[in-house]
Amino acid sequence: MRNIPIIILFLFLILSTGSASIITSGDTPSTAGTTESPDEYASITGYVTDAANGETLIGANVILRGTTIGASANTSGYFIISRIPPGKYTIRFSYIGYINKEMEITVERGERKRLDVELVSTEVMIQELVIESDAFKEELARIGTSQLTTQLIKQLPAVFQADVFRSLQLLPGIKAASDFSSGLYIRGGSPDQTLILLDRTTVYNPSHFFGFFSTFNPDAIKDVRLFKGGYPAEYGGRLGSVVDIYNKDGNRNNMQGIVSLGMLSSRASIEGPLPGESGSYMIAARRSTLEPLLAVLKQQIEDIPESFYFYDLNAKINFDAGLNDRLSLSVYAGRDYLNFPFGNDLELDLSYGNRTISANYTRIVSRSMFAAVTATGSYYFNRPYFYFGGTDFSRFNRVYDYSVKTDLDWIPSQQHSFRFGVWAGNLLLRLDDEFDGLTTLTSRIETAYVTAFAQNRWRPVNYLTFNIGLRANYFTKGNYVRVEPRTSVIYNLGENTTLQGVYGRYYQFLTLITSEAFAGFDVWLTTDNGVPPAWGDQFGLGVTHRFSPAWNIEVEGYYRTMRDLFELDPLLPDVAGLEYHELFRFGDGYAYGIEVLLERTVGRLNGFIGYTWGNTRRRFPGYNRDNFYPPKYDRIHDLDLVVNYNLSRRWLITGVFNYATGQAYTEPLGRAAVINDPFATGRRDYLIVGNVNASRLPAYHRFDVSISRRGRFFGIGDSELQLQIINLYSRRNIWFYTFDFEENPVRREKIQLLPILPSINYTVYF
Amino acid sequence: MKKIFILVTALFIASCDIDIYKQDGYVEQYVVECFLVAGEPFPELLLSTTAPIFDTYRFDERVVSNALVHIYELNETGSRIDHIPYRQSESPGIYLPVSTQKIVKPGTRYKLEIEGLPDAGVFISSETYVPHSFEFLDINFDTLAYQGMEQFEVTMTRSFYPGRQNVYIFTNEALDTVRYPLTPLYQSELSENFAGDSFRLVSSPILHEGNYRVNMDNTITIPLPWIMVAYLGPNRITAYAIDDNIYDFYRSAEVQLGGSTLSPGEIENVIYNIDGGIGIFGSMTGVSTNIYVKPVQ
Repeated sequence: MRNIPIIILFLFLILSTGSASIITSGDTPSTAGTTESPDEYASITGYVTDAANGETLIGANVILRGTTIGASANTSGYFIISRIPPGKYTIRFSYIGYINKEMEITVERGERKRLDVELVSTEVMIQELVIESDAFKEELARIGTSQLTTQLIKQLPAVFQADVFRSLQLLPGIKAASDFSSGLYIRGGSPDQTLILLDRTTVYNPSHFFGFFSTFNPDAIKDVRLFKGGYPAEYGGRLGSVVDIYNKDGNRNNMQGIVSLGMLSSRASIEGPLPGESGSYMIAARRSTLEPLLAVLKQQIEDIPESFYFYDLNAKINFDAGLNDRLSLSVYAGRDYLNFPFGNDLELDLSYGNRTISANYTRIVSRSMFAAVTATGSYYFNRPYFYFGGTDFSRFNRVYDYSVKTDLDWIPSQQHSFRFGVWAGNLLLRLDDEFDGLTTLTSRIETAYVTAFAQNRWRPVNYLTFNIGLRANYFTKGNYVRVEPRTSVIYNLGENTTLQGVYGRYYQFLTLITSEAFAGFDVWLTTDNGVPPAWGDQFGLGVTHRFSPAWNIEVEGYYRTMRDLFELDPLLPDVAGLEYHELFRFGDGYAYGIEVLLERTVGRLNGFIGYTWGNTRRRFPGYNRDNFYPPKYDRIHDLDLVVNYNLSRRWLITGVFNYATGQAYTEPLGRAAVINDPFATGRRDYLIVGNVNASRLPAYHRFDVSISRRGRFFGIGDSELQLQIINLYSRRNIWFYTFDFEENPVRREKIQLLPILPSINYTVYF
Repeated sequence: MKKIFILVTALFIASCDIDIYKQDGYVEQYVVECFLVAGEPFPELLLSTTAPIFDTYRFDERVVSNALVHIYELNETGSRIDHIPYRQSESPGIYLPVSTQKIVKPGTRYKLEIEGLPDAGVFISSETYVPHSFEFLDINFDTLAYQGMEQFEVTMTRSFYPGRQNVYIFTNEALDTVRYPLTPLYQSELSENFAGDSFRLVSSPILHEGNYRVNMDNTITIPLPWIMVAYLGPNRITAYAIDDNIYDFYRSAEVQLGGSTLSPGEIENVIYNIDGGIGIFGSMTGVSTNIYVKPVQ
């Protein structure tokens, strides 16, 4: 309850400024006490969509030229501009990768104008990245926020196949643990500190191939929004960041499809308008195609998996129930399976996957209000089975998360844009272990959760915007109530420069037991009595500057704390018979850094350079002599260079270079041994170490290249042939060292990351 | 913009030299090894030093001689009530109790003290509490076919350890590795990775008593997994209730080998519970029974 003064302050800021907003005019700073009627003004609302396929464009910008009146489309692609003085205007619509559209309009007093606008993709015109900037780009320009186009995701060289998370790893502040992991390590946080949402539904293990790829099929995805830090009050539940992914709605105008053949997996998707109805559908499927390779390898090498595959399916259907009402249903199902008998009497069998479903209803309530109600379901499971010489071990781990959430956008004026929401759900975590026919663990953790938030984007003057929010959480497991204030300030220094500051408090009620090397056994655990939620504060400062229409730069600094971190005690040999709180170690940490992003967004040669200087530390009592230490994924310097060059309308070359400080590791200093081990035959050697993770592996660097050629496929449709070479100069980066005590003196061995890897994909668009 | 550029450049240059967390260096330490077993005479104690990681390691090159080794029995208040003096054996670095008559008592606290070390002023001490005694009451079969329909199960009384549940390590020792073959699983492992009688003694991981159902008569019944049988023929199963020092040492030593939730390459020291040195001064209480494993019919 020590936060009560802060809570009262934020409530005051949200609500008192809101009451003032109702009586202020569209283009004038707030003047409390004015008594103008809302009917004195007009409003413009509508959906912004892609002209080619009718997809809503999340975050599209709308502005009345020559004024500061404008708005950004919400996550349903809907915008609201309220309190427009009557008159003639030029309204401009813009969106990343689309050609601006301008229209002359006249609005009358009290008029409610509905403008559903279609934008034409620049992809139709020329193959290049185009990012337009507007005065109303706050949503995109928020500090710590990035948006990634699926076009770029598909262009980037990727190991065997395009991947959303590996593309995100190129952005400043986001790091990869290794070539084998698509996990997101954002601003010093571990992967479980990032909330992953797919169509507003939490995804608990967003990986295929045990972490190698993320689960998200780029053919099915419309929009990827990343909040690296300081995220607004509408999101919650994680200490660090949010990845908010939306599936395509489907082409509302024509049926179209994609077939793509790759070395690791192949994909197919189809989308189109609903027959006889106003709406659309989309189905995208992907499956690994390793079987032929495994069959060949099996002829030559022992210990090849008997079966090894993954698949996923995304589907979405949208239905317009009227001009103001829309319904959608989105489902995802994915599974990985491995069966690996090796040696005599040894076998591993593992399946894991996710299922999500979300039903979304949106309604335009009034000219200033938009509502969305979403019911979500998320199911994650993993089921490993080991068989060792007559002894078996099996686990069945499940996460069930069902929730209902409702969000309300209320934009009463140009000064104020409110968003309110409630999210309530039930989370059930089940874990059953059997060893040798004996049930050794049965765990059932069930908790309800309720969160509510209110946030206000308040723009008292043209050059200053405050985002003030408050989020309250109630978690029944442990009976925790936590309140999180969030705020940001955006200050426009002229047309091309923006300064921003952000502060937020964040709570996390879950922790993930995982392995950096293998994501197939992930287990989630929650808070409970004696296990309080982790929490932290985030501070950020940033400046963005546009040098020219082609070049812009972003510089951001951040500092964040992590307190009451709870994670499974890594030294626990067995959890049976322990109190729940005894499973964990509790610690704290912090991270700080500076990120620089220099972009060239137009032209035949475009791309970006991202640089991060950062540090992150952890501390757990009884570990590392109670001192802070860097986790393995801490990298001081991280540089990414992404370059696209359009040789012609048919040919595109993309290069990606990454350089990063070597990861932290613990250098053994000495050795000793138990000579007469009572529990084993022979000697038991052990290591003597000093400071944990005080040494650094050699620097990591890699250059990947992709060459694409566009063409036609027998007149049926467009095609794209993509040749990619990962790690062009075959730099053998090191993952970690092992120490072989069978040798005397001990021998240090390098476990290396990926060598040079060519791959080829062929895609047909019909 | 020029100011921003200068600021960014300055921060970059400054950051290159910031490394507030340094790698420390090797420091030689004394290493103790002594396992007290309830009901048995006081065991030998090994005293040596650590070696730099990339030096050849041989115990007999690292031994510490001429130290003064004492074990004391303590009462509940921590006062010394008995003294078990040690002497150096003929093998350097190995110390033996002066009297072989004294037996390690279950449910008793002992304190180790070592002085007279080459580094004047260094004094080694450690304490252990010996788990209370328990016994095997029954075994369902004394002979079974390997991986047959039935499985060995032992029923035993429960040990006791103050402040926590009982923790066990089970071992299975093959009693005749000459006449009897390895089981198929270990045969395949042996051919690839190991040599000699590496699997003569096989042990379980550390197991909490919470894994097992407590019977109505306050006993527990424990099935013996086939994975613990490395050799056919006669085997001896032993259940050890272990003290905190063995528990801490082995659970942390196991993590050094990998397999925990720590990132690859992140290593922490073993937990020693020894002041003035490292190693282990631990105790355990064990009970054994013999079984015979027949080949599959």
